[in-house]
Amino acid sequence: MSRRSNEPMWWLPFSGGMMVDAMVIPALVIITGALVPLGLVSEETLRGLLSHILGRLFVFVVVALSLFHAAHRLRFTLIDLGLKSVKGPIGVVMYGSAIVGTLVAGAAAFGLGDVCGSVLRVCGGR
Amino acid sequence: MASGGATSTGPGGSKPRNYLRPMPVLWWLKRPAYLKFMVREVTSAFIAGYALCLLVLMCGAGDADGFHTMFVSLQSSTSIALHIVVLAFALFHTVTFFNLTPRAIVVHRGEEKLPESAIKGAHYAGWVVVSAVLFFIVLRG
Repeated sequence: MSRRSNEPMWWLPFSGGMMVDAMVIPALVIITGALVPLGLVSEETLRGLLSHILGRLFVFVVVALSLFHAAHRLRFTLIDLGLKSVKGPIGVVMYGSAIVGTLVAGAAAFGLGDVCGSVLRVCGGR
Repeated sequence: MASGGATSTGPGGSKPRNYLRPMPVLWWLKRPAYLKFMVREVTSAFIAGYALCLLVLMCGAGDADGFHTMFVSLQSSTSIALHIVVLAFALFHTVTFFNLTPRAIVVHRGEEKLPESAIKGAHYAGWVVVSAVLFFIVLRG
């Protein structure tokens, strides 16, 4: 019955996500939500940055860590809301989604196959 | 981690019986501190949602026409309204997290403990620098 907790393993990406989210998300939201609408950032600049390998690496890190951060938090939020009986499946769904999201983000950022095309189709962007 | 009496074996070596105190689903509305905790938890979902939008934007960068459509939609009032909501949650996360850092990180300097304000201050200073670098990168272009 007694099983070693797998929590320490999830703690690293979780705390990394907590830090990265705190440090970069407000500025990024101000960039895409205020500087772009105000015309202070041109389309070429933004597209250039998002096409650059360092820009893509940055987006990958932010996406991956944010997903693990949210997965870990929401897992415990749902348990706290009374879903303690389905604790196991919640963990699988939460961390599973984070892992899948990370793989998709990685493949998209590093141009493997046509993952970006698929992401855009799913989001109705094309 | 030992969970104390909750897992101790009952008399006669029978299986442990864990008592789960029933909790009302809306327990977190009972006290402002609980609500704050819950809001903090939920900020992570909004931030993750925003990160996924960034991913879509990055994917759109591969195609000029598609990217143009996305860039124009960033200027819509719907997009701006969503950004305001995410910004509020993001700032809540940043501020509550930085204010908490002295509890998690205790730095010793010889015998002395580094004051809480120094640890908090270092995080805020780091935040300002990182944000300034990001703004510089996008505004320079």
